[in-house]
Amino acid sequence: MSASHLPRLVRFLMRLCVPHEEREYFLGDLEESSDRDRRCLEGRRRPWMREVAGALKLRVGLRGKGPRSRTPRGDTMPQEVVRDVRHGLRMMARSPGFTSVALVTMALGIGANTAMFSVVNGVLLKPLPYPEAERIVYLRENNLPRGWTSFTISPENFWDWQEQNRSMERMAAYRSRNVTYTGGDRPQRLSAYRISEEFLDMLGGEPVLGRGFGADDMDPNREGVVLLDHGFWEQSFGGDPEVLGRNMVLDGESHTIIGILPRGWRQPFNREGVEILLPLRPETWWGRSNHFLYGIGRMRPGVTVEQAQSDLSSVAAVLEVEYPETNAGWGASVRALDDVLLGQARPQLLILLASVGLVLLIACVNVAQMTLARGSSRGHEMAIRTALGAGRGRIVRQLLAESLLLSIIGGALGVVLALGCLSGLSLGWPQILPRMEEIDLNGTVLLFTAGLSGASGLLFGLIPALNVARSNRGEALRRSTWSATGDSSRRRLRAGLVVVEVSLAVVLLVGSGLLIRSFLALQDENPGFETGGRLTWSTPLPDSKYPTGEELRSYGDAALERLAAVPGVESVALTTLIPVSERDWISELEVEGRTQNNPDDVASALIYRVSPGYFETMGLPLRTGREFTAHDREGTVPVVVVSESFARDYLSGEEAIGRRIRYRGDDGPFVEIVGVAGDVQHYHLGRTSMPQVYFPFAQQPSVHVSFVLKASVPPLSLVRAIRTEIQAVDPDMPLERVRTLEQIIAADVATPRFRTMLLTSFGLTALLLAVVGLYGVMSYTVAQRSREIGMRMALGAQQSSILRLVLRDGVPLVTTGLVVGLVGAIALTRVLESMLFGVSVHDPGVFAMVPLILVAVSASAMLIPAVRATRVDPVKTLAPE
Amino acid sequence: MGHAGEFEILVMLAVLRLGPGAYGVTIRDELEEETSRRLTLGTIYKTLGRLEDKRYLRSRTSEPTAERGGRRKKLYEVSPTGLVAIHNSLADLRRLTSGLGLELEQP
Repeated sequence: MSASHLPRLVRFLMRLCVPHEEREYFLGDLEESSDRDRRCLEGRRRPWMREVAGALKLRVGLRGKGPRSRTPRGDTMPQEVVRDVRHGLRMMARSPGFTSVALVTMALGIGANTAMFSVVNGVLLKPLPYPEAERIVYLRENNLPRGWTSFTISPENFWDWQEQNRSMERMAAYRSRNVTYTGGDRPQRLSAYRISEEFLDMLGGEPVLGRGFGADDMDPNREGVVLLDHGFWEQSFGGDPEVLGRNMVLDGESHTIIGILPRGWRQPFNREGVEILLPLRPETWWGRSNHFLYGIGRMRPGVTVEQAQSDLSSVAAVLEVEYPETNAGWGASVRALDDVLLGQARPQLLILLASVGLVLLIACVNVAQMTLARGSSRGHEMAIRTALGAGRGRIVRQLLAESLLLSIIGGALGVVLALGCLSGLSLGWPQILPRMEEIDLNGTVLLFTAGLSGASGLLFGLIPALNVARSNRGEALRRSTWSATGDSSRRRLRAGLVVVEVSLAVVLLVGSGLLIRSFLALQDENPGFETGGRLTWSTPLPDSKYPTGEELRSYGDAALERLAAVPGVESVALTTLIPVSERDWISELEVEGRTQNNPDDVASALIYRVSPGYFETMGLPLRTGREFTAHDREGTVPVVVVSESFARDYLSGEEAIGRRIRYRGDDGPFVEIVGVAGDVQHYHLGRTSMPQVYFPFAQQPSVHVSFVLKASVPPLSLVRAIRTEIQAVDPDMPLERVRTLEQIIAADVATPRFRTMLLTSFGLTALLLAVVGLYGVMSYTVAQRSREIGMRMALGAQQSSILRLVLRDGVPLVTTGLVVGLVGAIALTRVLESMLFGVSVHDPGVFAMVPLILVAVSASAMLIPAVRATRVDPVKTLAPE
Repeated sequence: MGHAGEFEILVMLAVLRLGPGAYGVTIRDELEEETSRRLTLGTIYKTLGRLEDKRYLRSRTSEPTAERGGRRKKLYEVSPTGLVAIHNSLADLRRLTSGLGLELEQP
């Protein structure tokens, strides 16, 4: 006999309640018992619901070793929490599809936020690792009449500031000057700072071994002394404490090692780190018009940056009056240390953090969507719980526990994801942010992640929980899948959530669209020279070994001759500056026949000294006139080539060839302009550059020797041969900063590329999540209305009208979200302004493109369920269960 | 030294009394008859599961029978440790009730 006495609902519920391994026996007993009741009690049955409630106990507490948790009544709070968690775990295990999608969504959202917050925490939030860093300021000169907001300081001005100011406790100066170290196994180029006496003390870098610099060490007549960076000491000297007192040959001069810097101490302004520190000793050529020092100051307690600024400005104003020849227009600039170090990164990072926060918001909304959809199918479970006396609070708590579990597990996965992201960041983008070495996933970050997970769980759990708990229990018990359109309040809620998702995605997409356009514009930006197949490197020459122009010239000639003979080299040239490589040399020039009465008349330009063939090797076009030749050397008529912008700005656009210029303050003869070259973007792509002036290296030799080479083979394959040739000229000469021009340009756009990539990936994730959400809502609606659709089709409705019926549900959601999102984008993209190049924050192209993409993508998200609706078989949907 | 809770002892005693025919429904009926309680199968199963975890009960599976919709039974018997636990718990009860003079000492 197959007829079972158990009502279908009871059997179904029991299947929910009784663990699988007991189910057969339990149902057997139940059947047997009901059979007996029927015979013995003459139809007086035990109430089924009581049995169901009793069976629920089996669901509470997983089977395990040891005593089980007690019966639900009278449990203490922690036990209830444990029960909720266990129940939540079971619910997750029971619907692996929902669980995995929700977990991936949360892991993505929380992981991206964790990674981003690690960066923000390491770069922006951690205090700078210097004693009383908030009192440290960064000092520069400026010359506002000439538009230079930040310039290096002349030593004599610095000393006057030091004496006359009233706001600083102490001040220190430094300059960056790399040196060649010989005496190791091969000549080595070391990055060095020359620092004044107070520098280390102010930045908390007292040596751990030996001593720091004293007043005596600043005396140029004494033997040289040097401090070693801890890492360099370990690398080059094996951390041997005996090195103190030993000699190092730097730039051909002997220096005594007097101290080792503390481990991990970094001076703030050089991201790569500095290997040695040397005393800043006065040199004979120092004067009031040579600007090359950097300064830091420690403000007196209670002094603000503004007060310090006005104090130093008044000192500089006095100097302007005192030395009008050299100091006209020169002022002082005071900036807080953290502003200098982090000022540029801060807005970018905060924008990225906010964007990734939006992604998490969308992720939460999405999981809320899924939970709601699931809530409908769990209506029966909730109804029974309510029927058994569970209060609304109890059910909300249960559902929240499930959401929190999801978000916490998602958060844990997110931390793993974030670890991956961070190691990728430090591998792929090593130097785009200040303080990157301080980025780590520490306790603060984990606390943030934990808080974020909890908040997300509450966010995506509370809405569905309240919604489910609110639904009338009687209605839910009665309602079967027969309901035509589903719970309308829940549908409204889900629709609202889709609108939120779509609008957030639109904001992010517009932001990333703007950054992409800006990045493309930057990529299209012509640097003024050709980059393909070009290699550059520097071999700065030590003054001590190359004291005269004659030695510099012969080094250059010999090197160029040997390099030109290397197979694969098409052409090679010498230059003192390489564009976009972060180094410059600016001088003031006097144009013959032009008055110099006001500062605007003074011509300032980047000074390049180049060998013949430089323009051809760089692919830098000459507009008129000629390039330098081997004939332009010492003893022949001095010549100069200027850039188009120089001719435009300082020669009033008149015919440049034949005009004459000279260094300002130089009483020597004027130099004739023989050519006009195209403009070069010297600093960064997309930033206005200073005009350039080119002198022949042979006529103005310099120790700042760099080379540029055009190769017919992959340029980096030539490095070994180049080193051989250079060291054939000078065996003590290392190659420094060996890079292709392509690498230099790529490094220059690394930061924009980084933020573009990040924001774009956020935008696309947002789009994906929003579309998944939309698709979910549409499929759910179609599923809910399949009976209605079936009926309509049975009554002769066309497929097209069914399609319209379904789309009528989705289209308003998308359009509302789109409009809200575009309005939000107009308001919010303003913050991107400083990051954009060649595109307005309200770029019509982007604002038109994003809706198109969104409509296209959401159309497919709506059409798939809609088309499925038209395939509904009326017979099936209308047949009873 | 095993012990068992009150309801656990009752269930084990019922299993002992039922002998080879001890399974969910019969245990429930036995207890309802003898103890004036109304019990759900869920309660019984929960306790049986716990006793099995404690190794106080052993179980085996019977052949399926038609009256149960073709389902099998899970038959229980008390293990030696279960017997010890019953003994210990009852001894405790006896010790605690002795001498109270409230007519708790029935033979």
